[in-house]
Amino acid sequence: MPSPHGVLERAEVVRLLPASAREALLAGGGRLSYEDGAVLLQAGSGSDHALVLTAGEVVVTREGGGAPPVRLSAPALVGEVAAFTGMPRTATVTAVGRVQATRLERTSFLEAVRRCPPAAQALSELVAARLCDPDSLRQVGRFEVEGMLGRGGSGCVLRARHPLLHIPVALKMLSHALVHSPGAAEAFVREASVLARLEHPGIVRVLDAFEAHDTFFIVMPWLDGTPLRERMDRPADSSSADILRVAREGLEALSALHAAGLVHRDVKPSNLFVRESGQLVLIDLGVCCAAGTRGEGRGLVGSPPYCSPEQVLGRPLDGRSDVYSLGCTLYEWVYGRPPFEGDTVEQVLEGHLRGTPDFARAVPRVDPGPAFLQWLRSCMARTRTARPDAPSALAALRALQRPA
Amino acid sequence: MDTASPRIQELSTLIARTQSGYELDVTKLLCLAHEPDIDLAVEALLEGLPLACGFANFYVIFTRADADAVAQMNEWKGRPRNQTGSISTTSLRIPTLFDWSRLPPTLTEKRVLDVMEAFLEAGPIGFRGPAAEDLPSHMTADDEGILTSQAIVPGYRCPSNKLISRAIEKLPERYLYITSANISSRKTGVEEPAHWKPAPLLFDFRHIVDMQLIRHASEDAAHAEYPGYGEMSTTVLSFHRPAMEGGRPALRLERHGSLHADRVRTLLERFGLGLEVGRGGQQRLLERTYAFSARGP
Repeated sequence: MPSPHGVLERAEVVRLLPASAREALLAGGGRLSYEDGAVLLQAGSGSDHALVLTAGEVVVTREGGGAPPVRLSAPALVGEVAAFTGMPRTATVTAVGRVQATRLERTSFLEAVRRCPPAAQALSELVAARLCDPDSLRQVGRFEVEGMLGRGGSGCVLRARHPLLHIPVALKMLSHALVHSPGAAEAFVREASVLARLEHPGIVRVLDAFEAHDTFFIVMPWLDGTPLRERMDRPADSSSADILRVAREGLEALSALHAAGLVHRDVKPSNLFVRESGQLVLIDLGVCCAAGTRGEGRGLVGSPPYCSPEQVLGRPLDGRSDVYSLGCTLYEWVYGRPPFEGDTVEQVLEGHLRGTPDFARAVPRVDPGPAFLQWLRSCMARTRTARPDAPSALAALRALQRPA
Repeated sequence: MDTASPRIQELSTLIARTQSGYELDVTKLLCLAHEPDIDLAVEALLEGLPLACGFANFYVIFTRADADAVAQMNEWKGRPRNQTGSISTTSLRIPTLFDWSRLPPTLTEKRVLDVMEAFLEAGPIGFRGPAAEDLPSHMTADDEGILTSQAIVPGYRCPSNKLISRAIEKLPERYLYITSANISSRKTGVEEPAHWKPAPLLFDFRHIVDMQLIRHASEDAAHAEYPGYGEMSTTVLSFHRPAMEGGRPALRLERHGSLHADRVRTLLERFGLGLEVGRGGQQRLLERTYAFSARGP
């Protein structure tokens, strides 16, 4: 039979905490006793704590009556999902005979999670799953959640609906791990306010932002179209004109973003969206930062196949980092594979630092011509002093497209 | 969200699992054995970032030599902000750091340059002499009325020469600020020998969030390159004040560091020079010991 400690480890988000933090959670919890028939946790009630049953049995009855009641014997963990996510409880827990339990406070739990990025990530996944669970409330802020659109490095995107206007929106939920890093909340609010004022057809609008479930949500309009990734995966449907258009519109969007003092940090095929009109839109601004922001410890924020060398090295970034990432994206579209590959993150990153993208021997799937490839090579220069910023790269690209 | 290939997906997932950022072993990112790495390290210096660098058989920190950068580095090390900085440059430019017209009468420019050449052939070393007139005040020190500059150089064989040379080609100044990779004893209360391993160095300087590091390809090989040298800051010899030993002209031992005084004496013998031990040279610097197994790549 598992110990109370062992029970805690069954919950992924707690299992990822250091052992000392788990010990502290249990040690700090109040000891409670319940008589037969007492309600330990009530469906729909607040969710400021979970319980570790240390003796006795309970019955868990899901709200709505769809699922049969479940009988649990100590040791067991109950009410943890609501406590961890801060959402209303979906089940009532009733004592069968005498029950003893240890109370785990949500505040203590969140404090421990804030110091442990993997646990914070697991918490994000738990919140997202709960928001999409058909048996739960499926509501965040004023929005009704309809489902999950995708997960990325900086969080996940939910499809939701405005309850009064009945219009679909995309909700970006920031990873708890990102939100919990020092100064991140302030930086997020500052950058979201800049983004909300940015009006550019190539940058997804930020309609609103709000705080819930110990993280931030960004409200964006629903876009009809497809991620660039899907188009890249169908090279037979791509032409050199498509590549040139994406390069041009991508740089136009980046120029506007950089002019506002921001760096995207995660430009890649799945963060470039092609609307039904053909207009390219830069999406997922969740890890956007102010240009020149100093390092965040030794962590890498971004996606390895598209990271600039200075990003890998943890240097303060400027817009030229995004130009590099766009260059890697275009390279992959042209050649059918990213410029640097490897079996491990380290191998891919070493490619960015030390490798040279193969323009000489690789055979293009879609051939945009030698002048474009020469231009692309400049966008992927290893040192940023040798790399154009977005406006310069755009000017050079337009010069290529101008009839002789 | 990428679906292009299983490999990319796997990497994205890994990043997603950590979310706040994949923790990189930054000691393994840049290496002096690779040309592209040297370019990236030079770019960091040009942009004003501090750079920890393998330097002969130990580690130093370079920055640009402007007054603000030197003051900031002093603060990071726990020293007074206005502490004078040491200088590093290419071997060809070392003579430009000194005012040869102010040599003591016991020495000639040629004799001192010949001595420098011999020490540079051997390994890392420091020289203190009368400061060239154009050096800024934060890179010079006053020694009883004589303005001096202090050059710390790695010797001819060290691959860091390439980095120093490329940086200086692109800088308005002909030199960099250099300091041993150690926290000041003012901050810790105990003598802090210079680091000769990159990981503990970065740990000590973790308060410098964007410090860059370029390591030796192999610590063992770097140390084997300088047999007899201690793994510590360089020995410093000075030639700005008259010095005599046994009735013959001498250089002064300002700091007794990696090259032992006995070997210094032997080398100076070749030039008919003695070694006067200055106050700072009476006790040899300590070598840092690490609790873990220090040898290895």
